[in-house]
Amino acid sequence: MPFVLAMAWRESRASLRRMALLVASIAVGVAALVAISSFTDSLQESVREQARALLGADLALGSASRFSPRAEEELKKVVGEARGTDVSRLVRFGAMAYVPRTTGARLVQVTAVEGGYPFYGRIETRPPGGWERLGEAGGVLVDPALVSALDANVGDALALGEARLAIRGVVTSMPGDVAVRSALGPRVFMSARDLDATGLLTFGSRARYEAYLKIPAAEDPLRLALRHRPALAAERVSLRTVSEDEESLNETLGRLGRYLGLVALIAVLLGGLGVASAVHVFIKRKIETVAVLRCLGATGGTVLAVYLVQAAALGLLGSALGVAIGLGVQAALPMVMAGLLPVEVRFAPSWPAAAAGLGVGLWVAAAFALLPLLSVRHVSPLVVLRRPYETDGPKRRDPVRILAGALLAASVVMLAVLEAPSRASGVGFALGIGGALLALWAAAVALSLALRRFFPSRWPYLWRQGVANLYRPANQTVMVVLALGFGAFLLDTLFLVQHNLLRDLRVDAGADRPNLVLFDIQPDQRAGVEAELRKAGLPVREPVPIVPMRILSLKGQSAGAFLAAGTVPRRAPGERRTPRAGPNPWTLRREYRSTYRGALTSSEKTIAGGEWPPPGWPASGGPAPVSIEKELATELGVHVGDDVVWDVQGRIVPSRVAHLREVSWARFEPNFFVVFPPGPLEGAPQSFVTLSRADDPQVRARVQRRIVESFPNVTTIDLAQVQQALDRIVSKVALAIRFMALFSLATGAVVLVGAVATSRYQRLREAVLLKTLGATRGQILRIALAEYVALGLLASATALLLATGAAWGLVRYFFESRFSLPAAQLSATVLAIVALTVLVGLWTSAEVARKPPLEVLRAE
Amino acid sequence: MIPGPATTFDAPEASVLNVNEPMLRCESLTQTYLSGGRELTVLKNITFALEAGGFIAIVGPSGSGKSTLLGLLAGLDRPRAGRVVLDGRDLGTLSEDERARLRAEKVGFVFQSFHLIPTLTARENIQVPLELRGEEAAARARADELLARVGLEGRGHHYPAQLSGGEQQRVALARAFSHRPAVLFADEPTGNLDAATGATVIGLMSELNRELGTTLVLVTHDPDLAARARRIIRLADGAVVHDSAAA
Ligand SMILES: Nc1ncnc2c1ncn2[C@@H]1O[C@H](COP(=O)(O)OP(=O)(O)O)[C@@H](O)[C@H]1O
Ligand SMILES: [Mg+2]
Repeated sequence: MPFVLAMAWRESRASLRRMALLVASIAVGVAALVAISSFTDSLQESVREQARALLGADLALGSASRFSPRAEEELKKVVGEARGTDVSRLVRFGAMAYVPRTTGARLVQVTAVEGGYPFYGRIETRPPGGWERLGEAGGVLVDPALVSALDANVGDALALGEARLAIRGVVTSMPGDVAVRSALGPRVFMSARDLDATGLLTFGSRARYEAYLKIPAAEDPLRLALRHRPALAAERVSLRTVSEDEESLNETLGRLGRYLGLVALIAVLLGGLGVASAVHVFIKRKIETVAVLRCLGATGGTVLAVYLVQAAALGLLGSALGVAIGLGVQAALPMVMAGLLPVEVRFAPSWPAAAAGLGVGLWVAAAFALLPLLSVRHVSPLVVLRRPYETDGPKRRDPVRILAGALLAASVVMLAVLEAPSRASGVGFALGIGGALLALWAAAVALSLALRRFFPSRWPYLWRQGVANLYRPANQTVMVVLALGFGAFLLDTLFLVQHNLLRDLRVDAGADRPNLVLFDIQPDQRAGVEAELRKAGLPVREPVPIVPMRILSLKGQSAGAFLAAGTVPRRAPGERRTPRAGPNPWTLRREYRSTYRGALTSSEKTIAGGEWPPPGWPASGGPAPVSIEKELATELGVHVGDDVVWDVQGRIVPSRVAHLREVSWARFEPNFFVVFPPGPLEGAPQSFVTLSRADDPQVRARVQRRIVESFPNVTTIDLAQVQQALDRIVSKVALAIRFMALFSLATGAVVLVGAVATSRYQRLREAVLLKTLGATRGQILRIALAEYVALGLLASATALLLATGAAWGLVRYFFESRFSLPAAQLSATVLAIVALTVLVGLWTSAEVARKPPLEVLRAE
Repeated sequence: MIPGPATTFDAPEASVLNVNEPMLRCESLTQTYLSGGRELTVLKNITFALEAGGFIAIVGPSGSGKSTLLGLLAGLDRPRAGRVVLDGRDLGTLSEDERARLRAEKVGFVFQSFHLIPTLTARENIQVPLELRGEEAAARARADELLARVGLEGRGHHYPAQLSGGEQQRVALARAFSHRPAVLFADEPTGNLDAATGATVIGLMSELNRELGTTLVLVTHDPDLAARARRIIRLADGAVVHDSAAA
């Protein structure tokens, strides 16, 4: 053992510079891992600390409509049980706002506050003290975004429905604020006392009613919640507690963490690949040393130990470096994630995460180094007497090699299962990696065979020489294609998945698509709104009726009973809902905004039930047939023929599911979950929505303002603005995702350099010889060019094919989304990888080409 | 650690007890290689024996199989047929690692292209054989002694790349003798050196052979060098065409 350590130390003294690749590979991978897991730990810690401020109270009740008398009754009971409870009530709704002094109008999210909300956490305003004065009627606090959008000043009057309220200041920070949330509509805070003056809470307007409770310290909020939840649920009032909120937030953030964890895992695996190729090169240069050691009587095991100790030590060095970098990156992560997280994350290095990173780095370094290192056991001592012959390769069926391979595979599977969101996806991930490696290997072998068979013997000498390098004895084709291709495969997959996920957040806004939406139009306002549109020269479409309704009973069972019976476990993304689990609570709690019509629209497709509306009805009699969107039908657990009874503003309307539709939601059309046939709903209270289009944003802004001035309850949305807001969110999310992908890119580059360096060593002696024979620098570089272009093309093209398959599977089945292939960007990545291969290849060859042959021979 | 008669008296396989057992013996050694799908016989039926402390030169044209023979004698490879007995141990019965251990114990090497380990200093190169046997403490002292012996005192901290060919070969020689091997194999040790330097190296070799009683096997195609050996075997096309001992 002392010999092994001494030898390892003396050897690494000289090879540290050469093994920089190994250290770098491990460092980047570990940095990604540590940054992400330490950040997730800090995030969880922050959630724990800030959970109370996030909710702002001990208990929160919420409903999509005004609390029913029975719900109010239940609330009184809670307050009665916990003496000294403080109650604060909020109403939230969307509305149009404008400043009479300036032009333009904006859709805003209004919160009307009554009482001491928030009981925990602070809302900061400018000028300060604004929140405490909110209770005095007549004034509002707004998001800074609204001030700039409407060109307003503090002190201006804000028109909200029929009311004119003074802008008293702006809200600069509030707990639980996800900045992107306000992107779709700036917030306005007002006193509940001014609500009536706005006249906005008429029937049909969507509003959320909430009650926040501060429970005396002696009472247990969770116990109160458990006792009163069933009765409240039956009245469609949800009840949240701090501890449950914290739990579900942790669950969500945990999922985010695990997604990022997979990204880190990719970086770590790429790092492992970097280790393998660095060790491979290293061993090639060490064959002579190994042979001498064998001659001098060192056993195969001793030699292996010498190099394994070196690899492990370098792996440890790389891991330590990675931990330091990772903690540094963690400090930067909150900035990248700014606006996406509900809590303020303070930088706190997580030592368990650092220790785990150190361990994983060491393990990966050893596991990935072992396989290429094993070949030192078979270096024949005969090498000292003459150069090795082709037939002297390592024995094929070496049980130790197979064992090491199995160990490596097991390590990958273990890491994948640990990091992946679920065990199945971890195993799938590992299987995908195995499949990709196999395919790359096959492609490389096929290329060598094909070249040997169909060698382009008429090409100019330099190209022939370069291409011949790919299949000659001791060629590096398989090794380089594996490393390069695998790196490219992971990067391409990441890119494709990201592209497909972000693409879904785009609204289809083709040239002839509507870009102005007007809704909440009351029946008596239809003519007036249409007249306004015509006056501005805008096209007018037939308005679509909207009837708000709720589910009263499902297949004969009352919705209240379903809701009171308890909640169905939440569904994780990618996890299919188990059938027969009963309806998902949100489907029963929500208010449906349904329509009635006698045909399908262009964005709808029949899935079941045949023609819409059923031709036999109403002649056949029975309850009204309804068409239900297929995803909702799954969530509700209903099929064609099931009965659903609706509460339409107090009127009971029975119906039977007669038709299921698929709806393409991305198309901007008035799309509906539930569609009735014409007839049964015509007498029900209803409002209308209509679409129009104006190319000039100024025209859109003017129309919006004119309509809100004449019809304050009508909401108009400028789709272009929505798109802009969405784009802002998407670019924030994309930035965060790309930031993580950077790690993979960095390791990918290291792997590439390693892979190319592998082949460089092979070419070194030959290049020196060619120079001795009179080859010019240019000629040597051209030979290298031919070889690297071929290698780069093969590796990145194979990788692209594989990545397309993998990304398709992921997007289709894991993220349950549509897959599309961005051809132009993909060809760019292929070219970039080829260019990078050639560049690194030429760069390393240039070194050989520059130096006099003698010096190179001496150095080797 | 040369096994003396007193210390190995109770070791029945120890060669020193058996004066008739030669240090190195090979019987009907035959080696074939597969080359381009055809079997190539490189060595044919080689038999000879060499007593302890002997000095033999193997000569012959390039490609005649000298290195192959040397490799087989030192246990670097397995023969196709025949056997090699080194210091009383039949190499054919030993595993790869057992042969390695035997080399660490009994065998020294000098090569045409020196084969110093480039990442180790001259001194560390010399220390390797003793360290492989776990004699770390002895290794340092022995390295100093040998550096002086080959005229390189003060150069111990230099790397092979910082030494001339002759100096590298002297370090290799010091390494070969550091663990006082019973047999020293040398494959064209002067092939890469000029005549004067080559003569110095050979001079050193035969001095050490005399001082330590080391058995010497020298492969060369230099007739002057071969002449210094006590016995010469001439190879051609893998067969012995002349053996001075038989003559
Ligand atoms: N592994 C091998 N495969 C095929 N042929 C070999 C192998 N090793 C040696 N040879 C051949 O054996 C013959 C003898 O080689 P060698 O012992 O190196 O000769 P010498 O050292 O006398 O010059 C040569 O023709 C050489 O090409
Ligand atoms: Mg030879």
